[in-house]
Amino acid sequence: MKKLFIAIYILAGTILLASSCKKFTEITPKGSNILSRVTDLDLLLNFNYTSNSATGDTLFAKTTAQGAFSAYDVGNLVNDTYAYSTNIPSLISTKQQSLNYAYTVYDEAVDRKNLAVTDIKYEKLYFLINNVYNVVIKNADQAAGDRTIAKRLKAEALILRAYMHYLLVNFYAKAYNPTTAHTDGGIPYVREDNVTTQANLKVSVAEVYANILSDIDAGLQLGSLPAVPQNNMRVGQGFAFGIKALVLMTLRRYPEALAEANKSLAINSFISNDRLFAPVGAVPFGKPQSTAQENLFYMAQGGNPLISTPSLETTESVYEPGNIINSYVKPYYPSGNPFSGIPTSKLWLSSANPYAVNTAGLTTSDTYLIKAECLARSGDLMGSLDIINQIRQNRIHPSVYAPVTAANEAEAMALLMRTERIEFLYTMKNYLNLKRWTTDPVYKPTIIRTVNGVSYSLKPESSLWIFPFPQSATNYNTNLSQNY
Amino acid sequence: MRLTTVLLLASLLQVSAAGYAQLITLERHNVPLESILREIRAQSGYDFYYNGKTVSPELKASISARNAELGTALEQALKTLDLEFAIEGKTIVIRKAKARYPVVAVTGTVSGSDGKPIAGVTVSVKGTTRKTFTDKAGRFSISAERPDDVLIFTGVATETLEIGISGRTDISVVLVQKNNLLKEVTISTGFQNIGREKMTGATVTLSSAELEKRYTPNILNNLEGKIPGLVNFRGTTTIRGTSTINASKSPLIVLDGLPIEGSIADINPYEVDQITVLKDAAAAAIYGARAANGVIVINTKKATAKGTSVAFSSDITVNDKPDLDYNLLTPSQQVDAESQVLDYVFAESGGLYPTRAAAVTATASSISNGNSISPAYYAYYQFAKGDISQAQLSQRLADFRLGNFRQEYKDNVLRNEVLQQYNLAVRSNGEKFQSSLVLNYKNSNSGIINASNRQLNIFYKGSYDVSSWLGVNFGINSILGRQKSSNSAFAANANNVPSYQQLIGTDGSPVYYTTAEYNLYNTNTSSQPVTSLLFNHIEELGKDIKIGNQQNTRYYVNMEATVLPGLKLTPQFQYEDNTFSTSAYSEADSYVMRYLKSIYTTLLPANGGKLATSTSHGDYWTARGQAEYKRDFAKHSIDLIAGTEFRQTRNRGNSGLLLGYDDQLQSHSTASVSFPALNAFRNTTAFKPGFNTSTLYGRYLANAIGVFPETTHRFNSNYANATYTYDRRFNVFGSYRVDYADVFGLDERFRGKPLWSTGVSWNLSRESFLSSYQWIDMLKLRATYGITGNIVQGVSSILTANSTLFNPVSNLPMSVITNAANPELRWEKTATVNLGTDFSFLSGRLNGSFDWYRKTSTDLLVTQRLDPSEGYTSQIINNGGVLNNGLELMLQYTIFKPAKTNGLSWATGMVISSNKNRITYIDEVAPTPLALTQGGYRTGFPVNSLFSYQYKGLSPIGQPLWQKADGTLSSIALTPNDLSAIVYSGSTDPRVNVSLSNDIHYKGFSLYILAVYYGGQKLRALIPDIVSGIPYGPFPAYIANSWTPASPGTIIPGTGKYSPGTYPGTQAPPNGQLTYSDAFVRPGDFIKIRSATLGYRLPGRTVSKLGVKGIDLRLQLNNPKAIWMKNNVNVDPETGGARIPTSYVFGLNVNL
Repeated sequence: MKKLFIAIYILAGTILLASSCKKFTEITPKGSNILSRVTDLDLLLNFNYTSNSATGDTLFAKTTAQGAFSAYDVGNLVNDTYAYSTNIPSLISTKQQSLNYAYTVYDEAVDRKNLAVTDIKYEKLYFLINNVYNVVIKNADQAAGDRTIAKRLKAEALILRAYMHYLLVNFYAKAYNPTTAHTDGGIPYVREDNVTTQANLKVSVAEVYANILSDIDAGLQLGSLPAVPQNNMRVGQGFAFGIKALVLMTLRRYPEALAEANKSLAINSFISNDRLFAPVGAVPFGKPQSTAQENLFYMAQGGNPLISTPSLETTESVYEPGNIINSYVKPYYPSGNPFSGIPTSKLWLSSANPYAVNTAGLTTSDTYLIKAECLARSGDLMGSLDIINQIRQNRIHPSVYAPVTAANEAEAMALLMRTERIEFLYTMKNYLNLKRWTTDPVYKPTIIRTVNGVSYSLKPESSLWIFPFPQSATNYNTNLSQNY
Repeated sequence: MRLTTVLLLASLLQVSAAGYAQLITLERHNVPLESILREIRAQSGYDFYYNGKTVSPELKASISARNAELGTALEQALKTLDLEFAIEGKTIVIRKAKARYPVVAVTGTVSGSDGKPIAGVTVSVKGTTRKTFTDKAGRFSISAERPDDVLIFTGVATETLEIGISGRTDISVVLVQKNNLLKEVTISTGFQNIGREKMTGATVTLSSAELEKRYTPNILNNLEGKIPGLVNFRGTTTIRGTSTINASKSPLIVLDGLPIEGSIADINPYEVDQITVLKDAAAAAIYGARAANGVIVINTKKATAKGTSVAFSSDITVNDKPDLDYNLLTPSQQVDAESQVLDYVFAESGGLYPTRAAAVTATASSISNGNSISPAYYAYYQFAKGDISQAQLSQRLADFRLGNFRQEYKDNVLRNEVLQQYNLAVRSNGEKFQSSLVLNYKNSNSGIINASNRQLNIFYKGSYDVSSWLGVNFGINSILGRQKSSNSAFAANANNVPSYQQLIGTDGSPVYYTTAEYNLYNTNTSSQPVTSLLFNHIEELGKDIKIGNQQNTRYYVNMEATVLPGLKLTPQFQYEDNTFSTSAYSEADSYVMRYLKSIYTTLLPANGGKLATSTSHGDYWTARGQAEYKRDFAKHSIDLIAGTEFRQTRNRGNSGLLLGYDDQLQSHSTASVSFPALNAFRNTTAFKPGFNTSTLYGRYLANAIGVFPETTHRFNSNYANATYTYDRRFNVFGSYRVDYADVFGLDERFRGKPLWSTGVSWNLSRESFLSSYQWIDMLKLRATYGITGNIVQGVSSILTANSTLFNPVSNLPMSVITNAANPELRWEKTATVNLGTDFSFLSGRLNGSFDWYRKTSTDLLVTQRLDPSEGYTSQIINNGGVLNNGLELMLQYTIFKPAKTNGLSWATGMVISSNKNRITYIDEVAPTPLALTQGGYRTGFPVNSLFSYQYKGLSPIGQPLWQKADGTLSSIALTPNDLSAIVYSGSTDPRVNVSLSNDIHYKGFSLYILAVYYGGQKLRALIPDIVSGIPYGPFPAYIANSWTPASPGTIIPGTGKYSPGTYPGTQAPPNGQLTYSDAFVRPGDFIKIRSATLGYRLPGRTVSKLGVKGIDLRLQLNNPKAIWMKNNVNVDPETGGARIPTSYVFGLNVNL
């Protein structure tokens, strides 16, 4: 009897356990956020849009933007700077088949798609789109927690998704041209319904812009963005209106762009003042990463443009006389430039305080200059020049400063372009603006670089303006034909 | 059914008649015998065999039995008749009784060849059912009838002996130990015990007798050369090659039936009774998703003999000190080498600097900046400055030559590593209760001063026979360990100061010097450290100590309930609780504290040192419910098991840091420290101006504080297997298992995918057509096929983010998605085909086994690259394949068989394993030559492949050159276009393993020698570095053979002024290309004597006088100099450098 009882007990226990097999193994792993709460999504949006000291293929390095927002290649292309930490005469004389060489001498014959094995810009921008914004957009509605915050997070994600695609289409496709945009190849526009196992489709430039605008509008319509975000690695209305203005200006819808720029400036109209810096003023030269007031959204390589070499054209002719940084602060290596091999070139070496250049985000300089361009193009030369002078006044030593004037739109545009080149030195903005103008019927730029007496020119029609999709993408996605 | 129709079974199925479970109750008087037999048959379940003449229907008998044993009842029934019975299997044979003689009692003792009495030997009278067992003193008493009766002595571990009484009444016999491989081995798979005869799978079982031939502190090392297919090479154990890329490669360890999480190194080697290695799918598939790498099943000893036994063992291992001078210049040679470079550095012209004055200025600034400066460098500097004369310089260099840091370090810091291990086992075996208490203590001095490693292992286990059908086993095993070692990054290394540095002065006082982080000579007041940075290895070893504490406890309980005949239920439960904590105290005046305080100055507390602690904790439980059914029906025999297992593993822990800690005062001032300020402090200004501190912050401060994320895994497995045997000739086996695990979530298609196996075996030697071949003892053929699994921990089917991160710019916590969703995640799958044979010939003189296998692993979790627009550049998915092919041969031959006890015996054994490993598919994940050479994978090549740059030596000006894809030579980094120029230079895994063992016994002496051969593997070794300046530390030996314009015939790049990048016209070689060059891939083949053991067993008489049962002494030599190595550069392939130090073991074994 006892035997039977024990047997039944053991069997019953076993059966009871067995019936719960599936349930037993369904547990939520600790230490891994499964993104089911609004607060989890909030943490996701706290991404570090700068680079940390870690390098290589490590988790720690990958939790930042790494080198994605450095302006080395775009700066070299538009002759803001020379190729990073490279001996230029040697690069030119050995005709080394490299991307640096192609962008230095503007040689379209260099097989760039073969040299572009990987491209951190491409990887990181799509990483952010898929793993930050799309996750937030997909999960915000179901996530447990405060609905107001959920809506705000979704709006932030929509706006930022639009902006990252704006950068991508500008790097890898032809500049927007209203006559060909419907047939010009663009980039994949990746939404929250993306399926990893299916290769992404490339859509036309026009379609990319339509999607960008629709995302921005969707974000704004949620009506949940704060005017000013909690910190400058998050976005608010100031940024949303700013990039809407930027996109509309790119689409040459100047009056609409002007309206959006004004909305942004109504929220933040701060202009930083270089006259405060010693030796002109008393403030030590520097600009903090996290709190610089002119930032609408801070996205950068992080810190100083250390070891960057501005081109001779930049330091000798683009900088206006009396520019406080170039002529007074002089954050340069005192005994020449040991890297570039170009006599009289300067090497940025100041490291006393961080001077955080916002290489890829948005500042009030952007919104002011968008406004200035829209005004110039609509005939309000005075309005345009006021903005240009307002900026110049903060950049040039009082003893040298004099307001500029223009007799016509072209002159105003020329002044605007020069101001922008200095304002956006060491950032990606000069590349974006100059590329935008390559399809402009009137203001098409040609970049001239002279090294040791030899001049090289980058024509507006050049294919070099379009970066190749890296092989790490084209090898795994047959839809990605190059756009040049 | 008529009783007479029952078939007579083969006589070899004879089983013991003692102890029938069936009791007979029957009261009949003078009735037909047949009716009594019918009743007994109904009550006992036994069939009768007799012929009608013997038991005629008219034969009458009487019986009066109440709960009588079957034998007693039968004796009663037959006592008045001239009949007798014999029980053969389940059949009772009734036959005419033989003529009766007067009964005589024969007594005697049974002992082994060692003189020790043997308990439990069956003593029977040939041709009768009478039998008895020897008691613990080996005594027996049995009744014989005829003077020519023959006694049969049968023991579990001894050869059967038949001896005629010849009229004697007192007979003492000595039994010879059975050859281990001949005896009928029961194989424990951890789930069941199954006769070796019934196995279809490829398994190898080692008994404690085999394991005790050699002492190894870690039982795993003792398997070397004994298990075909198991390779333990350079710290990695594999069974039948590597069948995965990212998942676990180690075999599953099963202890006393259940998998354990603790380390195999912690298993008490004296306590191991039997180790079974399950190699093919049919053997291992019952472990399902964890079986792809093979399974090692370890069973611990149980009390066997009745009564109490005590065994004491001790082994003391003494290691030689390691060879510190390997591949390094002697101190004197180093002075010469430095002088050569320094002549160039301080040359008036044509040197490193434009002028000598410039060299002096540069050196002065280097000194003032706190860079390392070797003593010779400083002497040259002083000479160049004019502070000392040429004669003084020469004198100093001559003095330097007298120093010998490594020798002094070896003499004063290193100790001969001594490992003492003591084991005391007390076992008692009562009627119903058996228990063992085993204490094991290990103590090592770690081979260096101020260090130790101790471990106490306590194991109590018991088993209780509650009733004839119910048994309970339980045990507690607790391991307490304490390790003390140096926490200093500098002090435990002799190779971080120049070779000619002195460690101890002539007067015995410590000599002070600096590490490579600073110099002795800086007098610049503005760049002085806060406290002195003088260093001495011996002093430092006492000031920066790390203590590790281990506490592992395992509890288990299981029950064996035979609820119906043949049906056994075994619920089992095991709980493990492992804790490891460390505490590292760097005293205030330890070097690292002085260094950190000099760097961070006021940011760190002025007083006290630091205490870094960490605790990691793991708790694991397994519950298993299993039913086993075993039944024999005539020629058919089945053995079924089915069960379910639940398992949870959980690991967690954290680490912390106290700053300003003072152990004496028990005070700290961590709260006064600002970590953001420490983090923000990136460049020093005063001390070591411009020095970047970011790595220091992470290493010593930030990384010391953290959480080891809690990881919990749950597994559920449901399994069944069945073995069917026909006529003991044919076995058919099948197993089936379904595993669920928490890592799989979404897709129903992949949840609980079944893993299964099947196998057949044929005991050929039982076939009648082979019975005429007397020399064949046993011959068996096996064939199996099955699928086992493996899983990569850390992959998940759901999208997850790491939330432990922090955005240092916005000062907010952040999350980053680290794991892409992969709803199609599934187990890695390994399908194994195995064909094998086991054989034993010539009365067991030659025996062995042979196996061929093909392991096809698919669905391996590997990196698949993606278009980054999917959000990831790559994803780990089930998309890789590996194939392993191999042959295994094991042979044992007895060269001399002892004619009498203590005679000369000599057995030799050989184990040969070969394995060929190849990746059948992998997405090419190495996009650059460097990535490929640094450990990339390629389809068609082994998993552990070495890929190399083709090094083409040095150009006429000493420039290292490598071949590009187009065949031209290049001095600069090869680009992705040159991937095809990268060559395969072999695998790091041995292709062939051979071991040869010889076991010789004579009188009380024994000698066991194990020699091993590993062949076919390659390694990178002695890779030259570019030595252009004066690195602070020892100089490598190869620079004596480096390139100079005068001696160009070498492939070692020049040093000093001739180094590439310094010598005019040359440039520094690209990163990694020298390291991964084919020229520095060396063959790893070698033959070594792994160990030679000389044993002596004290004669029985001597031992008895001492009042003990047995004493064994042992002297063992491990790892003498290799007999042969294929590489000609004297690299030990097992270390990649200096050879494994020889060690000596002194062992003692006492049985009370």
